[in-house]
Amino acid sequence: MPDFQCPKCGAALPVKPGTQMATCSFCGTVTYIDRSSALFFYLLPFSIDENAAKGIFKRWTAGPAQAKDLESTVKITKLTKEFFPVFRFRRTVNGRETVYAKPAKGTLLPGMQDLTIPPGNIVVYDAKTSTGGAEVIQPDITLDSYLPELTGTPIDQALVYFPIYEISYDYKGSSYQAVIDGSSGAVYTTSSPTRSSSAYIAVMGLAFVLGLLGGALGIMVNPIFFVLIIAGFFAGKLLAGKVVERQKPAKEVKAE
Amino acid sequence: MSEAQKILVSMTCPSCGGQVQCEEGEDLVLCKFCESAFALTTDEGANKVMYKMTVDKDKALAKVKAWFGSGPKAKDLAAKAAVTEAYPLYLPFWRLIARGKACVCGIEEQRSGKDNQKVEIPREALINREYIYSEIACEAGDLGIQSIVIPDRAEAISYDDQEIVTFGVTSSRDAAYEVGGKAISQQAVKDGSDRMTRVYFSKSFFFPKAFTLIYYPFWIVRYTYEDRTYFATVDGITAHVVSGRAPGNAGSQSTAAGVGGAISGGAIGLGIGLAIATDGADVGIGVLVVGIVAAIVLIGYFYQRFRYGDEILEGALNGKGLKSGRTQEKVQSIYNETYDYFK
Repeated sequence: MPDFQCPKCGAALPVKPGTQMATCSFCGTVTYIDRSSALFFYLLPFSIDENAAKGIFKRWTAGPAQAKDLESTVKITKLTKEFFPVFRFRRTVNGRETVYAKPAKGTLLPGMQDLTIPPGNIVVYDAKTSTGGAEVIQPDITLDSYLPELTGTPIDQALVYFPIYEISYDYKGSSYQAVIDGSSGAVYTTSSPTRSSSAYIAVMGLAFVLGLLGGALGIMVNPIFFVLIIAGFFAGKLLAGKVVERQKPAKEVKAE
Repeated sequence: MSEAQKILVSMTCPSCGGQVQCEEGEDLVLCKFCESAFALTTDEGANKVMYKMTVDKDKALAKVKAWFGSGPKAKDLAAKAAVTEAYPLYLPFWRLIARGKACVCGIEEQRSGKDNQKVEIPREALINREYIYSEIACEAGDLGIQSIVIPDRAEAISYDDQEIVTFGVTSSRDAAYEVGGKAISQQAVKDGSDRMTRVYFSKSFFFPKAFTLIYYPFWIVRYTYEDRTYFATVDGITAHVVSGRAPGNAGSQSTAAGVGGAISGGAIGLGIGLAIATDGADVGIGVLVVGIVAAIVLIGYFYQRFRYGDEILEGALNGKGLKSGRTQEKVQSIYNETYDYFK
């Protein structure tokens, strides 16, 4: 993005993202920035480094929805750090400000379909902006291809690059994909190895049946059968312990 | 003149040509030279208020450590968790303060007398309260924060994005205003229908008082446990842990399975036993019904703790896990500003 100059005195005029007025620090002139016909380039910097991204992925693999042995057997085959381009249009439609986000590149990556610009510290993207070694994905869809389908009058439009980690991983011979938002750490997936709830239901079911028998027989036959309720608790706890127990990855066995 | 310069318009007074001073969010300007007033028809900006961070890093970290020890989190979490980073952050929120008015008519059902007879009492409520709606103005991502309550001791400071990281606004101002107004109207109806079993008529309005963009301070703390990265966010003024992810406690997961299964089974068993032993007398059936209801509640509660207890989620977070703590509601009412009428 080019630098601006104060139209009155010619001094450099810094323009902050998301503002429509700028005041010259030299001559005090207030300038209105008419953004309706220009395209601004913004970037959300990474606030999560590569190690943290791997840690977030590992945390996600250990989550209750994921296959139980996913954390211990998963293999990350590819991890790329990149900036993904999205157009953000702010327009006045029927007197209301409306925000649209449209992809600036065709993609099948998880989470990129609903296209929400993640929360982040929006900065101006120009030649001086550091990308921290991340690849900047170039748009392959032009702004013009969206303009005819948008209603209302423009307030501003911007190309926003947002930070993502693209992860490919293998589990039991199949390959999967995940995307981690490099600003807030949200994990996006389309399909992933999941965990069945049947073992959980079976264990609680067993404790339930023992409790049920204990209660009924305790009343009808002999109070001694109340012991079955306690047996149900211990059987449930013991088996549940097996269900939730984690397989430790081999490398964690190493001594301090 | 370069392309870039064409989009800059210097602001001059239309009657005298003098320079005018105006700021983001203002819609009326007074020329200091010729004293003529004129309206700005620019894109409406929003008034911004920023609150001062009063919690320092040590205090935020101490709060997170205390949070490690609460709830069914991994037992060795406090000992083994390693904080990898902690940084201050300002998040944007849309805040609408409005008076919500609602008229609600309906009936309240009561059971009274020996034979438990149903009595219908007509009720009418006029709600006239001040409400605050607040909603995060960017995508929530994996922050777990959707709304805030600004404490009385919060100190407003001038908006300045030089030093601390500020997350950008990505949602629409008008959409937030509309959603906020609707939420306040609905809350007014809800407050009016509190005691009613059935509502026959309701009508609600909201009268806006202020609409502001708030920047509120938080600490973001990331930590690792068994090589996994988790996080917690701490309110920068009240020092409460607002949201976070933490590893669960396998021991309390299995205890939940045992307790939930055996007790709920036992409760139903007792009921069945009594019902049969008393030959279907009221006492036996009563115990059975109570037992079944208790069992359903217990199973639901303990199953959640067992099945999803691997990860503890605090705040408004997406994904599977055991929800803990409470999520901040988007609408709050200001109680000393209520003029309600109930009949």
